[in-house]
Amino acid sequence: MSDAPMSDALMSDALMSDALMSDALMSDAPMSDAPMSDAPMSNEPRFDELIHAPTRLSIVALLAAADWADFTFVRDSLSLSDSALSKQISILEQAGYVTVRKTGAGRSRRTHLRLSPSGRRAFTAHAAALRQIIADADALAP
Amino acid sequence: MADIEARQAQAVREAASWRWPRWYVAATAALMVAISVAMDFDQNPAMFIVVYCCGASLLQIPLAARIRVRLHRSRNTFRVNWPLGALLLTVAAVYVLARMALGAAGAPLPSTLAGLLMAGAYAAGLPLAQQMTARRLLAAR
Repeated sequence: MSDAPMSDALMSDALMSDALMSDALMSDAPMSDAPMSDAPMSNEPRFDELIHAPTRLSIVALLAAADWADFTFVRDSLSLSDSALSKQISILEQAGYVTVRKTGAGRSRRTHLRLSPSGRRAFTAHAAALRQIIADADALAP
Repeated sequence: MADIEARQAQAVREAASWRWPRWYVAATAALMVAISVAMDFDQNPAMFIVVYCCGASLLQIPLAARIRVRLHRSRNTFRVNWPLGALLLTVAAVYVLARMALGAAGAPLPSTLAGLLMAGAYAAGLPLAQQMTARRLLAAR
C-alpha cells in the first residue's frame, strides 16, 4: 500500500516517465479509441479519446479514487440520470475499463462499479498525457 | 485536470463522511457484553471467541450494504486508518486489564464488569477514532 494520495501518485508516475512522455509525443503517438487491448501496459502518457469525453472522464476520475463505488453514489455525484450513467458505464464496460457487479435482489439490489486494472492504467496514462499537454502549453505561452 | 481532482475529492469526502451506524455500534457493544457475561458462567473461551467472530462477521453484511464508496488502497493507508486500529487495541487492553484487576480484587463477575467497561470504551472511543480518521483522509487528499 502506498501512502501517497492518488493525485501525488499520478504526479510521480508522470515525472518518472518523463523520457517516455517525450518519446511518445515526439513520435506523434496515435490517439486511441481505447478498446481493451489498446490499454497501455506501462504508465507512459497516452491520450485516450474514449475516456476523454467529459462525462466518462468524470466517471473514471471518480472511480480511480475508489476501490469500488455504488452506482447511486456515482449518479448523485455527477448529477446524472440512471439511464445516462448506465449508457456511459456500458461503453466503459465494453472497453474493459469498468467492471459492474450486481448484488442483492428487489429493493436491496445494488450495483457496484469498479475500475478494472486496464481502466486504471488507461486513466493514469490519460492523466499523464493531459499533464503533458498542459506543460507544453505553459512552455509555449509568452 | 481540475475536474479530475474535483471528482476524486468527491470520493474522498464521501468516504470521510462515513459514520458507523448506531445500530452497528450498539450491536457490537451488546455482543461484547454478552460474551463477557457468558465467560463468567462457562470457562470455554475458545467457543466464545468463535461466537464473537461469527457475530462480528454477520454484522458486516448489513453494514456493507450501507457503504457507498470504498476508497482505493492507495488512499486507505495505515497512516489514515491507525486511529481505528488503536481503538480496537485499546478496547482489548481495557478488558484484559480490567478483568485482571477485578479478578485480583476478588470482585464478583469480573468478566461481566470488564465487558461493560470494554463496551463503554468502544462506544465512547469510536466517534473520536472516526473523527481522526476522517481528518487524516481529508488532509491526505
